[in-house]
Amino acid sequence: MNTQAVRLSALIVSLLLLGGCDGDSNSNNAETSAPVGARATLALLETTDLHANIMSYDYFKLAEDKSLGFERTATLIKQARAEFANTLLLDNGDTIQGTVLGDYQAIVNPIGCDTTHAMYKAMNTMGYDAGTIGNHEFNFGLPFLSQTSGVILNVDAEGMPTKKCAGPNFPQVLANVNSSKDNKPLFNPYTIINKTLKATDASGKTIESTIKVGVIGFTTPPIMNWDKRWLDGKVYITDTLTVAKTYVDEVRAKGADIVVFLEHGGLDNSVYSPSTESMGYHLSRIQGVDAMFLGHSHQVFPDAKSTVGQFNLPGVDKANGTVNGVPSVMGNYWGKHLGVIKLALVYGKEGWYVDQANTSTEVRSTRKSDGSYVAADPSIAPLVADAHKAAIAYVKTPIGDTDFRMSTYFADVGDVSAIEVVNQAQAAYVADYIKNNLPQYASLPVLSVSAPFKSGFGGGSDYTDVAQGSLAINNAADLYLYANTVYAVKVTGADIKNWLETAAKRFNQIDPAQTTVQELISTFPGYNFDIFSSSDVSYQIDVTQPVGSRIVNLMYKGAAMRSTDEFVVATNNYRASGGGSFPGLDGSKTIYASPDANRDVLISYIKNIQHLTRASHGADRSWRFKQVTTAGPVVFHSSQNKLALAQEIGLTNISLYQDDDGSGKGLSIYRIDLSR
Amino acid sequence: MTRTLRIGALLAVLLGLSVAAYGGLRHLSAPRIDLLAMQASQGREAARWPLEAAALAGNARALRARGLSLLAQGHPQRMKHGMELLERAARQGEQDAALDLGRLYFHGAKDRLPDYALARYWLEQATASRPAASYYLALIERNGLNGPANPVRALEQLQRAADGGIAEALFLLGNAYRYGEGVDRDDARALACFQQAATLEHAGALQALALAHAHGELGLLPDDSQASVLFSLAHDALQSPPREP
Repeated sequence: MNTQAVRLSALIVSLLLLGGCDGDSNSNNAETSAPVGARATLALLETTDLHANIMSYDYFKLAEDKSLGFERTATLIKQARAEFANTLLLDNGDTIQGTVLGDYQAIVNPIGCDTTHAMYKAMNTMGYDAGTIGNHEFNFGLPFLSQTSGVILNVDAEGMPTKKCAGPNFPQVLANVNSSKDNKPLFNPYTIINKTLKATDASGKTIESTIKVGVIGFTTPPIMNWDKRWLDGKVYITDTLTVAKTYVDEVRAKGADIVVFLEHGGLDNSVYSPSTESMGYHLSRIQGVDAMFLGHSHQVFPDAKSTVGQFNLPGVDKANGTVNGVPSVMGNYWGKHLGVIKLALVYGKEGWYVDQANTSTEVRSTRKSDGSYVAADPSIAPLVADAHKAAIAYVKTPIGDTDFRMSTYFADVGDVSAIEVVNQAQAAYVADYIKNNLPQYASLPVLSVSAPFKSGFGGGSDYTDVAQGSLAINNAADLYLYANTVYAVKVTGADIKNWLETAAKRFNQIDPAQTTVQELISTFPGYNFDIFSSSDVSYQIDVTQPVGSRIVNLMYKGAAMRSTDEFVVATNNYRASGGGSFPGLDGSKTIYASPDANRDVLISYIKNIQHLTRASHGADRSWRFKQVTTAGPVVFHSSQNKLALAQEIGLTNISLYQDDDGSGKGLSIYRIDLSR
Repeated sequence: MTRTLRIGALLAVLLGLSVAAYGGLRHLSAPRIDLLAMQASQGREAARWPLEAAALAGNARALRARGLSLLAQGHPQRMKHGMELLERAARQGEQDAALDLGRLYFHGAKDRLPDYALARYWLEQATASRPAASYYLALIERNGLNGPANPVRALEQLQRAADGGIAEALFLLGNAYRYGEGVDRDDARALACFQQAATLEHAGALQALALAHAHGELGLLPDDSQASVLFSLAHDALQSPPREP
């Protein structure tokens, strides 16, 4: 087929059609033009990556956190609206997922079709003009996305809503994801906003005029990997640059005066590929784009002092906030900042256009220069009060109970009460995965190591301490402090010995002949003190020896662990990929990099076991110090008034050396008798 | 025109079109192939045949895409064929295919143990242009996976990968400087490595920085609010599946 002939016919046909009525419901046939030379300011306000942070609250700590939360961004939005004659409020995606509240509304107690998602309730009250779809919108599957966005998505999936559900009162646009069912964009690729501007004519008189703002949205292509289980075969990514060009032309043809990109991604100037995660750099080069919102990377742009790689690329002006000349902004995350692109508009012969020279961008923080935060806007909290209360109640809901106190006050000297259940959960999880997915390793024993994450750096209360009794999700957060995912490594007995030798750097080398006091604990961090807590493994740590020669009598199931024996050890991403520089743990031993958080694995384990007992979950001491008589005291610091607890645990070789260590941090000095 | 001539002319036209098509398919650009491959892997049937046709025409990028797609299917025969296609692509100079082979031999699979000698061979083909290849070579050298461990060479490879922006290498290097493993202890360099890896969203590096700010390590003053930001970023970085260099 002669493509030129086809193009010519298409052109003739479209010219014929253009003469007719414009069927686009967005268009306003009663446009108000303006005299040439009229000027106006239009501030485009960006929120991005709010991640279901509506209240200024930390659901794991069960405490207020003023540094985040849309209720404070709302204050910035109102301030900007008071300041600028004309504003448009646009969101750049990642709205419904990211907090316990988000999980609660999606998974724990899923909201129904008639309930607006709490994040959108808050956003609706502020009055958004448009938004786009971030990658995290896909986390809960297409039916939930269809429901919460209030759009009937045309895909073949089970459980899709059959009617339009309650959702945002603003259009969500997405140009680069198509439905596999009809090969059309999943959402409307763009919207054209008719904005009535307060402008001034050349003589300074106030006038009104309408401007058409085309808004086109893009999301990040790796959604097809990240949410493969929901999306594979149902939707697909199109060529972002091609669709961008197509829709810029289309909105211009429909009368858009200016075009704004909502790019849920950052900047990447490497050679373009349709699977590139961050499209902002390449999108900025599309002819006809006037302003660009960025997101996804959780950074702030513009920022003259930024050392972030993507903002220090050629063509990127991090001080003035332009990317290849296009005014751009990235408004951080969780509501901490509001992005502002202040467009200077001039009315020319063909309508409104952007005066680049007088256009500026900035990001505004909820944190003021004195370190305090702007007040929360009072209209937000009442809207989400029920959802907020429900999320808190959920975090406090018992998942099990414990008959013993689980703490890290004495983890450095042998107590496993806060570590053993973590190891048990990790080992059970990995063993199960291997059984079902990695049969080539099914014959290997599965062990686990973990470390005390809180060892008193911040003082006497900076320890894990879970009381006997009911266990809830926030207790699990105390038992597993960090955001880690479970990794399984295949190692030899020799590797394990090296692992334990490195962990044993936690101790100073003790001179048995020294008569003056010696500190037991070195500066090697407690979070690197990996230990076993299993009745199958035993070893001693000889602190009289130099680093590298401290592990003695390493046994597995009653026999000496041989250097060539093979094991699978459950740990976390930080350790397995090289954190702490443990020999051989550098990514080369990983046999399973799980997407599941160690904390979530722990929560599931506790929910399963229900009742933790010291006998089964808190007393398996794999390691002890090699006994040695010292001429002088060997001491360590821990929280005050914990001696009775040491006795309870069975650490009868601990005594109080000094009630207050003088640091002012609520710590005592305890003495350990290494001969017992 | 006689019938024979007509048939001959038709055949000539068809031949010409085939040659043109062959040429066109063989020279399809890498981004075009990548888009087709991406869509084919997302279940788009319409993207499959141009990809197969381009592979048949000898387009190296398409050979690689076909090879990867066969490997993803998990069937032993298909996997063998997939490796062959990758090899063809790599021998035609397609560097990502060489890296793919290096990675595949490095990790092994359900029915195939790692082959570090072959891994090394293919990684060395790619190392000039693909910093990720240097990362894997560093792991081979530092762990003695193909011959005795060579810590000096391992460090060179690691530095090369780090210079090429491989986050995992930057994290390893940062830890090496921090704990003085194979290099002199250098807190400032450790910090710089972690910060660079952090901008690449490496969860371990973000956590290392968070801990450093929390406890005042690596020459930093204790700063709880910075630590808090970094802990959240580390949490965020783990929301997406882990990426291999």
